Amino acid sequence: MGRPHLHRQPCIVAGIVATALLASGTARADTNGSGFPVLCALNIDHPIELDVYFNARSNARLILTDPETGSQLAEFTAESTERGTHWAASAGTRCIQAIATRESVARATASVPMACFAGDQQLVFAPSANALSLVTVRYSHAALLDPQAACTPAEATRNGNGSLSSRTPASAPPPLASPQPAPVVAPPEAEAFEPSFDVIEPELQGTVPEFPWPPPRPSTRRLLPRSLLTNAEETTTFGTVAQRLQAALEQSGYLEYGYYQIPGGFALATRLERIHASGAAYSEPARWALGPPPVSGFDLAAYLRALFDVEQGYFRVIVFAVTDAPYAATGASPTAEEALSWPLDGAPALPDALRDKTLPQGANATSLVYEFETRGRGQDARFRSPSRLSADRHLRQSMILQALQ
Amino acid sequence: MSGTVQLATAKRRLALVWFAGATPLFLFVLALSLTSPGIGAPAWAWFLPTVMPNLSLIVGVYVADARAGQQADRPVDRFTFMMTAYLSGFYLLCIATLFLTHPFYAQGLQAWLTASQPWLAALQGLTALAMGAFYVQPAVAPESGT
Repeated sequence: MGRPHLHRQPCIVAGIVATALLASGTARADTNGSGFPVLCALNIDHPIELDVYFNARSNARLILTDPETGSQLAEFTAESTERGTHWAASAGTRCIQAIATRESVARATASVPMACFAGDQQLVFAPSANALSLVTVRYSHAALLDPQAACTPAEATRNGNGSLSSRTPASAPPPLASPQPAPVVAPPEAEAFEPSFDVIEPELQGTVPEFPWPPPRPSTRRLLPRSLLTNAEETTTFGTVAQRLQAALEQSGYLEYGYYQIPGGFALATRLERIHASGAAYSEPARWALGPPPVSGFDLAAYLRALFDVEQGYFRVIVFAVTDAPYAATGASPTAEEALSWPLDGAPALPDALRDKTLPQGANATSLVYEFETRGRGQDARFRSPSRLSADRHLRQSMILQALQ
Repeated sequence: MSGTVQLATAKRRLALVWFAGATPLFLFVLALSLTSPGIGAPAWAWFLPTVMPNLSLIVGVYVADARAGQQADRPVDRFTFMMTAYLSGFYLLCIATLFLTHPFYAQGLQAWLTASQPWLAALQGLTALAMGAFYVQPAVAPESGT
């Protein structure tokens, strides 16, 4: 689904129309000082009609209220509005107020209001001026009331990477006023720590599978120095970072990997490999075999362990998450079967839409190491947390770190 | 080499071959099922049909003899006995070899045992046939001078 683009000018026109309507008594609603946009019907005999679009997988919510009574008229979420929903106000409804909120990434339980940007017969809601739009509302038979107070006018246009070129919204909505649809409101200062975008790139939807987010809790992890990713260059792109990671993986023998989209960037997952207790990978073909490797050479202890099927086996998957979105890896621990499918289910290469995108200054890469343990063939592999080894040791023993340096 | 052997002696020796051979195999599978429960069940499923018919035959004959009461011993064909004993020993040795060599097989014990089923079944058939022939053979006249 393509994202509608903003155009210059309409807010002022809509504002004049709405002001005229208000003055003539057709619509008496105002913004109630809430800062949320209010749409008023151009003709009382013709109800306001909306088409609501959500950025897929976004955690946004749109609530329509009657500004006169404060009663809720409708509520939309990304789950309930997959491909756009048409909504029409009931007869007699003069104005509606659109309140767009989202769950904060930093505060999982908080709902924070989003900034509004007014376009040509449409309202676009985004976490900030630099962020991707999460909700788009196209309206007809209505005009935006007091657009300057509620929304950033349409100087804001979309740039190539999908974010708004206007750096600062004229007025970010204040915390929700009563009646509030969301239970918890984040304090305004929390916005300062929000990522520049925290949703899946719409251009990637349908082309790159999504990695579970927040990511499953790893056995261990390590934040990679940015210099390792950017080759000490000032500015770089996601494509360059992916290329460096990919080259390091291939140099270390990881020829199978899968790309995933994650909020604010991408994830790169390696294939499940069998490792020694030291963290060093087995040589092929035992490296990629799921069962214990056959005994080779004379090693009585190893033979006896294998004879009674008590050979301890260690397996590892490394996921590199490159993003500027803050997150906590609090997802459910993966099973070995899930980890096994990661490189195969992922895209083989980074799509162009993300490849050419500039790596934000705040972006970094975290290596998430998922370790599994088996004891003989007859037993299932168990996720091991914490890992026996540090993430740094995993990366060094796998030779990835050396290849990156 | 004498052409006959006393039936009671032959039965004892054959029972000795089978029980002496099957006991360590039984203990191995038992240990395997304790150390690796996941693979214990398929190991038992493979092992029991492999040895139990022959062991049951041996025990069954002893039970039948005991019920029949005191019977005079009789000479039986030595070749039949030797062939049965050697086939039994070879069969049990093959089973032991399968267990002992599975660590060298990349696909693991279960696949290793499954892969052996066709030829081991043929060998088991021959062994069982030899045992049947041994137990039902008629008495032979002792050679002169013995």
